[in-house]
Amino acid sequence: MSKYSVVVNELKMSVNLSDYSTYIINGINRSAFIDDLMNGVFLIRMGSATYEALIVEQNNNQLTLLIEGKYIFVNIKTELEELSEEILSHSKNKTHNIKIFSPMPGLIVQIDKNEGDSVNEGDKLFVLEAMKMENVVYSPVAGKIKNLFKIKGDSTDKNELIMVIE
Amino acid sequence: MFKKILIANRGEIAVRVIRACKELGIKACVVYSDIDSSSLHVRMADESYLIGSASPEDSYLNIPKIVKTAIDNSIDAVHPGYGFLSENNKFIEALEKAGIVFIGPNSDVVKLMGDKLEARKFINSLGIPIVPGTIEPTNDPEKVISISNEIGYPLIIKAAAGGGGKGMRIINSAAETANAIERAQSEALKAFNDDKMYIEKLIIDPRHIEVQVLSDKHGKHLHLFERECSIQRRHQKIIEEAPSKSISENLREKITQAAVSITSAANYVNAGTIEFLVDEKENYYFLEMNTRLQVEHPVTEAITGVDLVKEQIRIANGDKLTLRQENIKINGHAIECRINAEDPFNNFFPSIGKIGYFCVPSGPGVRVDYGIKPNSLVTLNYDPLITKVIVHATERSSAIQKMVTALKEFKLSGVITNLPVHLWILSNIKFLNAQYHINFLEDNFSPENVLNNDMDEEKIIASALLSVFLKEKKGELSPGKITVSNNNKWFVNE
Repeated sequence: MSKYSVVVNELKMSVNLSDYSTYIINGINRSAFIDDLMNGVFLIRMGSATYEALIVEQNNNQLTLLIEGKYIFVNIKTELEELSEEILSHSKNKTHNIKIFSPMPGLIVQIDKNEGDSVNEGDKLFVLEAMKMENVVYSPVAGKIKNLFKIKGDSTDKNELIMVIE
Repeated sequence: MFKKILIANRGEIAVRVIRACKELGIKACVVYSDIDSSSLHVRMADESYLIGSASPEDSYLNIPKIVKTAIDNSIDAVHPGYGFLSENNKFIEALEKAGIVFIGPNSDVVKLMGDKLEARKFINSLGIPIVPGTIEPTNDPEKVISISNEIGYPLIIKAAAGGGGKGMRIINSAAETANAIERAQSEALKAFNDDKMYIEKLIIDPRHIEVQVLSDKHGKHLHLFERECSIQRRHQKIIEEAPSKSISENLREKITQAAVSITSAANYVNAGTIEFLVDEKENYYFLEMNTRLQVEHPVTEAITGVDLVKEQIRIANGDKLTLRQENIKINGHAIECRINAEDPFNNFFPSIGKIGYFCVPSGPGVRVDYGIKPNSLVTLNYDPLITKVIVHATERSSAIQKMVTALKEFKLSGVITNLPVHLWILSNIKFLNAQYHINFLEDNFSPENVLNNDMDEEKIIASALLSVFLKEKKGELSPGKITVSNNNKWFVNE
């Protein structure tokens, strides 16, 4: 029997699986039957209700589902994975390096910060042009620009490292 | 009647035109770029011609290649769809010169309406209200400040060649004037290679109401009532309705009459749309004329029963319109939702990928226009509009319910779309009461509102259980081939 820590749309819960039809969620027993209909489509039967869930995206421990026109974001870890991540984060020194990746392929049309600049959360970092639209990327944290890997006019692929903030 | 029509477009609109051609017994031919070789419009066409690479300039925007393809393949007429070359008078002239019929108006009227300043001057001369401002090119800050004394701030400076929100700046005070003009002008020069500017008063929180028109080559000018298109994001419409529930019968009469007097005065031919801004007091102002078929034409088709694309083809063929104004009636209510491959949880960035599962809604009164199928590529080269869902019911409230039901049935994987944004709008009280204006989305949208809208605990639990099921079966969630960034993948902690 495995134990999982699941976060669904920022709601955290622990789930134990005893067999493929009985789940214990936060200590409460729920029976559910799941059918794999192929092509990423699953039926989840719970009591009298049946939900048709479509996997839109699946990556490592993250899952994006579409159920009745709504996206649901799931992050799942085994208890062991969660524990090891906690230990890892404690063992690190205090300074965090935040990597800023390009969210999509495009052209960097403007960079607002240089190496060594300090930034506040929400500060404009750079402007990416894709599909003829300019998209502004803001800083998720306060800190200092440690590395900058691109210059104005560079093109970038999706998930390419643009800068590191410490 | 024409034997072969070439469709110089792609996606859902090319598919829409192919269907009309086939129903009329005309061969439907398309051009395509290399990246579109297995696109739906290519699969459905009677003939298809590869004309270039994915970059629009090399294919769908390339006038010489398209005209040559038309000549080489004995094409009788070209349908431009919307976007791309649909409002390019040079394209129309090139076709006219080659003796090929353009399914749309003549090049001179396209040129007139394409120059926003010339269009304002023309409409003003007909005595139809335009947004207060200038009808001559204006870029002198002193002159702009003197105009502000007459009509007051805020003003907006716009590029005569403008569109899509580019080359535009709002001016709130005399102090901002010079800088705003300079920035708008340099943007206009970059985007349109033309820095001719004009000034308009900024209408606060207006509604966008437009009138569908249809004119034949024999001087008959009809209107097919109005569409309400105020739900927009960055000047891009996302929900359209027909008729408008927010205007009086009196205003409907005024704008439809204004529309027909414009098409008569311009000797307009074929389908077109005249856009108005309407303020709280029901003052209406001409905004612009689109000399082509609109994305949102299906809502008009739904309430009038007129197939606009078939009418376009017949008009281009020289046929007389058999429709009579007095027989065109508003029947019920229609709504269109544009499903865009944009991630609402990540600042509406384009979401690209290969379509996996694709299952569209159906049922009475539900129409779905799409240009994708499983394995279709959604790329950065083209518009993010991938599907339109259109519903038709006897009244607005039942149309809204029908749309909610339809959107919940919609299943699409491979890209993230704005589907939940539509469901959130359709449940918003201002939308339900038809009390909204063009800034509705900007004023009310937040990703949290959309994420939490109508989310019940059972769905959350079902999702958790599915993830446990998958993880238990496979050890880990196997990485999907296509990944779309969600909200938190901007950065990772190390």
